[in-house]
This record gives sequence, C-alpha cells and structure tokens, in this order.
Amino acid sequence: MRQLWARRPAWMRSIRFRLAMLSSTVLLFIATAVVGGIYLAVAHNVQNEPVTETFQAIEGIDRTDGTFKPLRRIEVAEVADIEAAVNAETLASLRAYSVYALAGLFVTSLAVGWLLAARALRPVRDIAATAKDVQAGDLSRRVALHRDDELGTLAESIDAMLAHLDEVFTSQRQFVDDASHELRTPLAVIRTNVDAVLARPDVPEHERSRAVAVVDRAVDRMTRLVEDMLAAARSAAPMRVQPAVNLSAVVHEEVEEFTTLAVERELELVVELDHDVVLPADPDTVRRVVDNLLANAVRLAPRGSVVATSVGRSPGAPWAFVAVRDEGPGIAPEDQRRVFDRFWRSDPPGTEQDGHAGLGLSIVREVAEAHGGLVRLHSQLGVGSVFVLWLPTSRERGLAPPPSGSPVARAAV
Amino acid sequence: MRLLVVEDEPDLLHPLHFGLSNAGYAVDGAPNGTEALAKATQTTYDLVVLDLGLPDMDGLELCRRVTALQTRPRVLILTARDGIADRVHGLDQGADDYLVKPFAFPELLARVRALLRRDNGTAGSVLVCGALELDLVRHEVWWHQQPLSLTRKEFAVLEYLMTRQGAVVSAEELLEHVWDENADPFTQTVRVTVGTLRRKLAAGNHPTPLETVVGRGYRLREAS
Repeated sequence: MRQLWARRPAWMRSIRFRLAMLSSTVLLFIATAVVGGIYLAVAHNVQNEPVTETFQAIEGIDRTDGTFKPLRRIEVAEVADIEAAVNAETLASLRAYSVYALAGLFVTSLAVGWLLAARALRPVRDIAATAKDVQAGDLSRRVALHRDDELGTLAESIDAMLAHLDEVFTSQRQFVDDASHELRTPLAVIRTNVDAVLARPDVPEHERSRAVAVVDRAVDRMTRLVEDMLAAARSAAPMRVQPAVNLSAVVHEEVEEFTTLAVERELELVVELDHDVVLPADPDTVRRVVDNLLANAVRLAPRGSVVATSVGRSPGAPWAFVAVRDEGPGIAPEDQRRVFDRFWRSDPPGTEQDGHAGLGLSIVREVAEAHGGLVRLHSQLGVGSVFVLWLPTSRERGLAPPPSGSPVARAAV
Repeated sequence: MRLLVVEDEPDLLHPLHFGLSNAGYAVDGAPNGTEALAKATQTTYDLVVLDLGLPDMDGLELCRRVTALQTRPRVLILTARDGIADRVHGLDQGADDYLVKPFAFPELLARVRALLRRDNGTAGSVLVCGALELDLVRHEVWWHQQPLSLTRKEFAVLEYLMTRQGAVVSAEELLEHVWDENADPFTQTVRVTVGTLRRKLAAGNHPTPLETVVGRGYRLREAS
C-alpha cells in the first residue's frame, strides 16, 4: 500500500490535486453530516415501519338473496400501519437520492476544486517559470506579479532577491573584467622583458639588469594587485555574523600603525575620538577600511601637512562616522564620483604609482555598503579632502540616511 | 624597415624598442598619442605598433588618423582588451592586426614580419633576387649558395633594397626606412653602409647586383 502510494502518478502528487481532493472531501463530510442529520430527524419523527400485521379479507357482493358472492381475496391492514409503511418507503428513497446527490456533489466539487486550484496556483507557476529562466542564465528576468496578496508579496521578495543577485553578479563580472585588464599590463611587461631581453644570450649587462629591475617591479605590482583584489572580493561578500566592534579603539590602533610612516613623511597625525563608539560590524573588515582611508590620506598629503582622523556619532541618529581629513591636492568635482570606482587613480597612467592599484577606496565603499552604510567625499581643489565613512549603529533596516554635511570642518584655506 | 612603437608604459616600451631593434628594425618610440602622431606625420613608417590605452588620446582615434596618412603605414594594435567586439572594432578602424597582452615576443616579431611582407608581395620569409637570397626569420643572406656575413644595418639596407627591386632608392629613403630617429641626416652613414655591402657582395668575383645611379641613389637588380 505504501509502495503504491509512493508510486502514484505525478498529477496525484501535485498541490492542485491535493487541494481539490481536500476541499471536496471536507465538503463531502459537511454535506453528509447535514443530509444525515435531516434524514435522522425525519426518520425519528415519523412512524416508519413496514406493515407487520396483515389480514386476509374476501371482497364480494351481498346478493339480494342474502348470499355472498366472493369476488376475490384481498389483503388488508390497518390505516396507521399503511401510513408507516409509506413513510418507510419514502425514507428509503430519500436515503438513496441523498447518496446519489452526495456522490454527485463530490465529483462536481472535485472538478470545480481542480479548476479553482489551477487558478489559485497560476502565480506559483509564473514564479516557477521565471525561476527556470533565471536558472538558464537570464538574471534580468523578474516575476512582476503585481498582486496585493500573499503571492504578490512572495513574488516581490523574489524579484528583490533577483535584483540584488543581478547587481552582485554584474559587479562581480565587471570586477573580473577590470582585474584581468589590470593584470594584463604587468604580465605583458614581464613577458616582453623576459622574451626580448632576458632570454637572449647576447644582451649587454646594463640592459639585463634593467630588465630584471623592471620585472621585479612588475611582479611587486601584480602581487599588490592580487592582494587588493582578494580583499575586494572578500569585502563584497555579504556579512553573515556581525559582532560588535569598538570603532574608537580600532581607529586609535590604526592611527598608531601609521605613526612611523607619518614621521617619515613629516606629517602630523591628529586624532579626535568619541569614546566607545560601538557598532555591529566585522572588526577585521572595519580595520582594513580605516587602514585604506588612512593610507590614501598619508600617500597624497604634502610634506609638513596635517592628517586629522575623527570618530563620532551623529547626534540623534543611529549613525557613527570615521572622518579622515587631509590637506592634499583635493579632488576635482568631476572626479569626486569616480574616486570610489575600482581601479580609478588620481595620477595619470605612466607616472610613478608606488604600486597602488586604485582598489583601496572602492573597497571602502563596498564595505560601507555591505554594512548598510556609505562613504562620502567632501573635497576642494587646493584645500584638501575629507573622506567620511558612515556606519549604522543599529541593525535596523531602512534607516534614514546620515546627515549630508561633513561632520568635521574642512582644512582652513 | 622603420617601425614606430606607441606605448605609454615605459617598462614595456623599452623592451619592445630593444627587442625590435635587435631584430634588425629601425625603431622609434612614442609614449603618447600626440608625439606618435607628430612622428608619423614627419616620417614614413612601414609599421606602427600601437597600444590602445594611451593617456592623452583614444588609441582607436590615433589608429584612424595614422592609417589616413598618405604614407599609410601598417598598424598592429596591442591591447589589454580581449573582447571580440574590441577586436572587431579595432580592425574596423583600420588596424591590420591585433595582439592581446600579454603576448609572446616571438609572436609579435612573426606578426610584424607578416605585415611587412604584405608590402613586398612575397608569401614566405625569404626574399630572392637572382642568386641573392635573404631569410628574414633566420637573418641569413646567401649569395651564390655562399653565406654572407652582414652587420645588422647592412642586412636591413639589403632587405629594404630587395623589397624595392629594380627601383632607384635614394639615400634619404634608405635613411628614413633603415635608420631610426637618432641617425644624423647629414652623416655619410648610408653611403658607408652601402659601400661595405657592395664590397661584401663583390668579394666572390660575381657581378654585383647593387649599382649606384649617380645623383639619384641605389638600385638592386638581378645581375646579368
């Protein structure tokens, strides 16, 4: 029996069949109860017995001569008995018709249920069809049900999920494209120097050592690029666990890390911290982001200038910020939007780039967004730049955005 | 053969310059589009090796302008973009060939040879003029079945003359196609090189195929 159940045909496994079956069965039970109740009530209130006592009688004619002429022999019963017998027959046919009616009702309701279930399940079929298209590789498909009910909500959630996946997928592909493009140049440098210079036996010594130095530099550049790319790929991955991190402490430690470099470059590092700004985020990631912001400021700041870092909360809103202000060259308005793009570099290509690949700020942006925050740039050419990283201090979704102004003053002109 | 290499990455421009010069070409370098265009306008290049990612100009735009020049040099594009659309677009803009970074240098050399071959109408890598044979790949010259030992410049002069067999080639033309931009246009270097080349050809007591046309230049033709 169990095996038979397991081997039932596909249409019997469908929700459609089960819905039709279930509704029809329930309807059948209810109808049976009602009809049965009526039957029992009727049967209880009327005499309904078959005739049990009959008498033999002879029908005939009394002749005038006093004789009796029998015509035929009949069976007689009492009136009450006959009534009861009629009732019994009526009830029997009522029973029979009720059974037919119930059977008919069941079949009809099964058919109606089958059709209605199809109608109710159509959105599910639409969703399944979309899912199939998406699986086939078309991430731009959406369910787009536009219904105000539970399935509409489901479809909306699925569409939102698809939109997010599409975005992640596209940015990932863009990243791979950009990265392969970025990697090709140092690879070409290495390859050409090896092929055209190092692989030849008759090359003068100074050309050989020059080529070795160039290859060495290219390998360094690639190494840094690969490290940055891995960090970027990791930072773009969604965060699952977000333990609490003390932003003030992280920034304090990071600034100390930069002290030596700052002394070397004759920079003054200023720190201004609100204490114990705690928020839900991954500590290592936050550390990396702060590191990128500081590295960027220290790299671009002119000798003898001030790099100021501050940490604080937005008054009355669940936002915390890290602001890094430098007195560097500033960034032109037309470039301000692009600084957070991957592989964007302020310096024109071909100039000395001390091996930075232009991934640092894009990592900052991606981490900020992965944490539900954002990063802003307030900059003025010739004055300096302030990079502000805003992170939410609560896990709530749909927060109002943080204040648009810079939380710290720009450097004096 | 005179080549212009346009590449903004100095670490790549230098070995390209070095490697192509070693292969016997007269090579000029340009680190940006403006300089490349200026040089291509002044000099008749046989081939321009062009990196598309230039700081000051769109590489394809430069390609279009270079191929529109009257001298119409061949253009070999180098690029880090390997999409099919990129290649098609590059070739449609007048490029003759397309090489994606990173490339093997021997492949670049082979493509350069193939493109230059289109000009001289030969299918293979050996140029022939009577009993004179010049192998472009092995860099060997055979004169009446005897190997001839030539310097790089002599080889390049002979190669150019062999692609222009029968025509009178002026000293200026030789200077433009065989020497790079560092050559002093007033030196006797062309005359000296042609002279040593002629001496080497005459060494085997065969009649020389290389003659001087007084006041006009030099001519290489099948020795009668």
